[in-house]
Amino acid sequence: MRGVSIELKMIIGLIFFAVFLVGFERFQFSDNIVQQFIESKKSKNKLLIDTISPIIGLNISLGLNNANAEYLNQIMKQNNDLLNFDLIDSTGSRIFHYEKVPLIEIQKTVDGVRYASQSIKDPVTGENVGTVYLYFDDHEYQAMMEKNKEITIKIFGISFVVLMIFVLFIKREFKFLKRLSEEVLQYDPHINNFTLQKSDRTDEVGVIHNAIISMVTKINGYATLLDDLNHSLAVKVEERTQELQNANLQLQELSLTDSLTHLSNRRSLAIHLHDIWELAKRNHIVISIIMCDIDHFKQVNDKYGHIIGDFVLKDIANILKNSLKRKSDFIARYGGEEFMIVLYETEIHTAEEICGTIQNNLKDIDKFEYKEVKLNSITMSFGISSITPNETSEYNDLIKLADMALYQAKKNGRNCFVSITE
Amino acid sequence: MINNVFFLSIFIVLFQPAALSASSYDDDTLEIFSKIIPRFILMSSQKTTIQNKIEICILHDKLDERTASSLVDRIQNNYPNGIKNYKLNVINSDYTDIDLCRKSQLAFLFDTDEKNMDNSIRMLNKNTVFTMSYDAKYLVNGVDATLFLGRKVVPYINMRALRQSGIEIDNTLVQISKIYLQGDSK
Repeated sequence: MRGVSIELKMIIGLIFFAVFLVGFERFQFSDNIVQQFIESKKSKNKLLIDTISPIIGLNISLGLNNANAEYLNQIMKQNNDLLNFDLIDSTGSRIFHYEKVPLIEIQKTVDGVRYASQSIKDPVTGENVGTVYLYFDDHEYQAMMEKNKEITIKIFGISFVVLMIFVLFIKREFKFLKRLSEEVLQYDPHINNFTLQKSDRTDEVGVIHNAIISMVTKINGYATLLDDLNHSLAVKVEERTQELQNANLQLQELSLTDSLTHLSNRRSLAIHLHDIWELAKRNHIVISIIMCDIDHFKQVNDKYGHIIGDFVLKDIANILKNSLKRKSDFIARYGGEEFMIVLYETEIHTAEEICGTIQNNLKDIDKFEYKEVKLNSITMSFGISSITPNETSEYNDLIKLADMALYQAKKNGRNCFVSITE
Repeated sequence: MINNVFFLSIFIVLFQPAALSASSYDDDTLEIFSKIIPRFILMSSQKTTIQNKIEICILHDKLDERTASSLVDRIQNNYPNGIKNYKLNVINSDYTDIDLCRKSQLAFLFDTDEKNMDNSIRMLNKNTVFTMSYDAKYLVNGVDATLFLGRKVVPYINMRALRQSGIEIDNTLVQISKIYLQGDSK
């Protein structure tokens, strides 16, 4: 049946339905015949009782009892289906009785088929002179009813079975389509969870099934391609992101670092000072700074050129950096030949000690040699300031004080340090 | 011995009609007639001629006067209050006073001689009186109805006579009756 087209299946279904309708019509026809038989039987019985009643009534009224008995005997003989006859007069006495079958064996009903009764009237006076009871044989009726019942059961039984088979078949078809639709709904191209295989069916359902499978196969191909493209794109994005991050870091470094000495620049110094100033203000911690200036550096530049001057600046930066021991100590190139050392939680005398250390480290280097250029000695002047930040003070105050101290050190003949504390 | 036989013969010749007459009317039959006579009127077109009372005429010879009276009594006993709101007027008349029956709806005819019977029936039919005889032999003479006394007792109807006298009877009555055909043996 899988190869049969839906059109043909529908036609088969319609034929089954037509068979059912014809069966139903046959049943109705049969039922009509039974009903007609019943009506005919009733009519016949009524006709009989209507025919005999006036005659019986007249015979009774005329006192012709023998004639009545003979007439009724004749009626009984003429009507084979008349099983039992009772004629009761108005006083309740039985006038006539005839039975082919004992009354007890006859099912007494009032349906007009098995039983009929009628009052007997005097045709002249209209007075009630008795009642007649007739009991009829209904085996023909019973046989017809049985036959009708049998036909009904057969028709409906066969129709029901055939329709059930058709319904089951249709249900099976829908089950096939349901499974197909479930698979399609649950289908995920990334995990390729479509499990159905190509169908051998050649009907419309098979065509749809195979078309969906073909489409799923194409989607799988496109999904793989799309995944590869996505992966490639993700790698590129990651690379670009890394490059960007590096560029950002470089930019950040450039923005905060002095390119010559690789020390923090003035902008970085301002950020650092701002941060630690707020922290020290909250914790009442003292901050000291050392403003350092290379003595007579202009002469070095003028005499040996800026390239040599740059070499000197680099060396000095290294000496300063190496002179600081704590990680929290911060050093920046403040500008030109000036450097700034920020010392968090450092009293002024510690800052002075650091200046001493720097001076000693400078002395330890006998000569500064740069290619063929040899410098005998380089000294530095230091201005030290120290403040414990409060609500009224700013870190610029600390710089101003250090600047003033440096100015004083220069004025004092250079190669020395001057301390100013608030 | 010869004298005895002679006197016996004389006695038989003299009293035979009376003896026969007395024994020819059966009580049961008369009883049936007494019941059916008024009903025959009401079950025929004669009912249309009824004025206030149903008039029944019993015609008899002098010889049957007592039997006729007996029939009148039976009728009155069976229908003391009349029938169907009609009073009964039963006239007991000798054939010589047949004119009394001219307006009756039904005349019951006891036995009489053939000629008298013929004349009576002719006169009664002429006046559209339903005729009913005790004896079925008078059907030949044109009496309308009598009783058929066979294995069963049923009305015996002379359709030809009824047609000639223009009297119609109820279909049910016809159904229960034996129909007299010309030439039927009685």
